[in-house]
Amino acid sequence: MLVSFKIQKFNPEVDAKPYYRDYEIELPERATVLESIIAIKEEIDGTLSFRCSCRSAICGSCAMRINRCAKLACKARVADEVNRHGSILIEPLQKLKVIKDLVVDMDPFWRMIEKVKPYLMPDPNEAAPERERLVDPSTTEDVIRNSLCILCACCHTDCNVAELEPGFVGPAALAKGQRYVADTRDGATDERLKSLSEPHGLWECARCFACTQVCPKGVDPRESIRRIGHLAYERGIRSDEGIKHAQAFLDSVKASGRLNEATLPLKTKGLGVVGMTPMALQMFLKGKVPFPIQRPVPDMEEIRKIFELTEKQR
Amino acid sequence: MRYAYFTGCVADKSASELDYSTRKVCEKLGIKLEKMESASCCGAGDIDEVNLDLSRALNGRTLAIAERDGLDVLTICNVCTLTLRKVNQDLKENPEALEKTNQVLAEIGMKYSGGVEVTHFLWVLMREFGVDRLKSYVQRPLAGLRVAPFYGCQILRPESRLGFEDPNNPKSLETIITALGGTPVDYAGKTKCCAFLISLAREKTASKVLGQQLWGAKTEMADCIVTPCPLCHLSLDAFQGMAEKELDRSIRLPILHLPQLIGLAIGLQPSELKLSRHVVGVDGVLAKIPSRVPAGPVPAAGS
Repeated sequence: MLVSFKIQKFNPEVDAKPYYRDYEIELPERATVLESIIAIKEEIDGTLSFRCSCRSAICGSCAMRINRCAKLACKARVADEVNRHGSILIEPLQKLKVIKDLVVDMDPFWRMIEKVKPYLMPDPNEAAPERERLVDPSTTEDVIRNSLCILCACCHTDCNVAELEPGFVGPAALAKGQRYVADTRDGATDERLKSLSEPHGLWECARCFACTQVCPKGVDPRESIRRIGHLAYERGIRSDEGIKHAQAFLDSVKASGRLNEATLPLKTKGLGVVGMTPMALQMFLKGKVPFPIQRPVPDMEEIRKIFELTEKQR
Repeated sequence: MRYAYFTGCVADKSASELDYSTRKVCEKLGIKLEKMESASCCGAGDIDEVNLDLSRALNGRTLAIAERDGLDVLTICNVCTLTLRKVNQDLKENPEALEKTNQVLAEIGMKYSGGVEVTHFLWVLMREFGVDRLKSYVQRPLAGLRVAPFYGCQILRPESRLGFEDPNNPKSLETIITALGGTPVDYAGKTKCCAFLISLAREKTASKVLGQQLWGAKTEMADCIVTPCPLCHLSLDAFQGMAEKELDRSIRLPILHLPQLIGLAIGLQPSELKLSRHVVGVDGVLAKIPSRVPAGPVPAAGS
């Protein structure tokens, strides 16, 4: 089939700014996007630059934006892209400096991965064991799922928060971090949880689920972030406003069966809520600030019972 | 067409205009909504985060109520949709989770067997009601109105939990805007995040994210944004001032709930849609569409 490509090109040594070039090429039905750009490079434009290595979604080096979504070029099928979008638009990963065409500087991404100390740190007070440390079977799911990550940076560069807040540690690093907080061989769980709860840590995640959606390996970073939040809550690391928000939510449903929108800001932000006054006033004038004391839902007894029982189950 | 109607906490209180306009529109279209008075809050991602078993038991109870009544659940909030669908999928696919949840539900005389579907108002319009049928109700076409769709994250992603349409290339809102006679506006922010969930805990980051999406619609000359989610609405409308401050730009873009936009086109009055409850005024939108409904045959409800 004859397929049209529009590919972003940029050579900082020559070009003032990035531009797009159109290509048309005859491809077999089963071609991947990577096979296509290799063919374009071989047959039409020898200057076209991109990274690739394994061609089988293992090395993570051919990540790029294909029809405005971060993907591995070796895993994306031309026919699927054409069916969904009609043609194929290829751009480098977002927010990373372009070295040439589709090749980006991955350094800021590696710095984020380094931040979560992606290696085991056994408890220094514990005597070295006679033989190797065994993985607890209950944590293998976390260890294995997060270890599937191939560091392609698809999730990090498509994350709706990292896109605008470069300080945000991002979904790939958080998923990596969860692999170590879940691993029973690690002895720095609380230290890790505190560091992951820092201002640009897990509570900056807006739950846009872009990471889970784009991950080519099924890591589900948002689920990993949820699990860090859960563990931080369980272990009493609750100073961030993000976790106070979750606590306030829980308390309000326990009290009335519903979310109490009027008390949530105060319980989340404490005195910091004062800074929100102009916005709150506008909302109040439009009747958008509900009365803080709300009637419980009918059959509230059932909900109280559910809270009691699930607390007992744990 | 009859559904167990799960309003959700925000549409019940601060965005009550969404609940009100949904009921008005459904009444006119002949979609019957049985309000789930005793349903609890879905707990959003928050209860799910701190206590998964509790989230499954609370939402399992909601699903059991609908199952007892023999109805599928219809939501009008993206977060409720994802939270309820996630629990529903886990209970249907994971027998251990279902058993654990049913042990709790048994204590309050309830049981869930996995016989309920959770859907969203937007999906019902697209799939069960049908766009052609919706078109036949249009009395005041939104001709010349440039409407920017804002999907919100949790009606699109993750596809494994939602799966109604391609999260990277959704078409449902555009299809409805076109059916109502309006012009859909394309912009990068339409499938992105409103940052509502971090608007309290990370105000500055949230304002940047929100500001980008609002500004994107504004630069494409949108007259208004339409959204199927009350949390996106709160963010886009009530917190628009925060985004303006962060961007140091005036935006003043009116934000409509999906049923409000439909209501205008099918001939409901602004007062029936409670348009005056918005922080950013909608006069600019009303000025662009005919104020009177032209005389002509009106399709009967449920036809």
